[in-house]
Amino acid sequence: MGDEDAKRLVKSHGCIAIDGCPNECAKKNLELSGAKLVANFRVVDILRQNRNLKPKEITFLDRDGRELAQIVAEKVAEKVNELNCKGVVL
Amino acid sequence: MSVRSIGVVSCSGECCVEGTISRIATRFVLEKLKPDDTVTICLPLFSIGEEGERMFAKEFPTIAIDGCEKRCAQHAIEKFSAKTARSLLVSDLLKKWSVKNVGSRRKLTREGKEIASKVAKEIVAAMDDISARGGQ
Repeated sequence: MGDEDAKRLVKSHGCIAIDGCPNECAKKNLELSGAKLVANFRVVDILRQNRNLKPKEITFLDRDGRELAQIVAEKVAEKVNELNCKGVVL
Repeated sequence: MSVRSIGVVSCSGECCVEGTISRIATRFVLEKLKPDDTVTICLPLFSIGEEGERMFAKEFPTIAIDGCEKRCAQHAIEKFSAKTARSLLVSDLLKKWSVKNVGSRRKLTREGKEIASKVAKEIVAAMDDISARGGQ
């Protein structure tokens, strides 16, 4: 909510937005803050690519939810490596 | 007069375990304790200016559940909609209850889950109080 330290951080480092739904709130909040957005992921898209997974629980993830989280984490890590190779400051 | 819907706005912060407790306590209220009387407002959606969320918070009483002193949930509601009816600060509750071992941001211990459940009961008490006062 306008926290100066947080704003400084997102402006001075490359940011990756990870959104759960198509509203893309994380990405839009970063854009509104003037952040340096270098990549974004939508979990809903990754779920579509992994139709065998059917996560149901929200409060505490079930097995499929944890598996999906692992896939998302790997994709983000891959992107971080790719950006590091290109010399993008994260 | 009883109030039919009360908005519960949870911290969405990842910077501390209190944020995790805020979210889980809010889910307990939504899923188990007061499923018919509670509406949750998505804080990131609210802060990008979604009109439905902001209108709800203008017209119905809201409770902010914040993890830390930054109080992002309370500040967002009061900046864009209206004064919150109640505000709970999880870090204060943990101090008051002398809680030590709640786990990590990613995974709460059994004690952490019990504390989330205790925070959920505080939310319900605040909801009942608001309802008894006709939404104030």
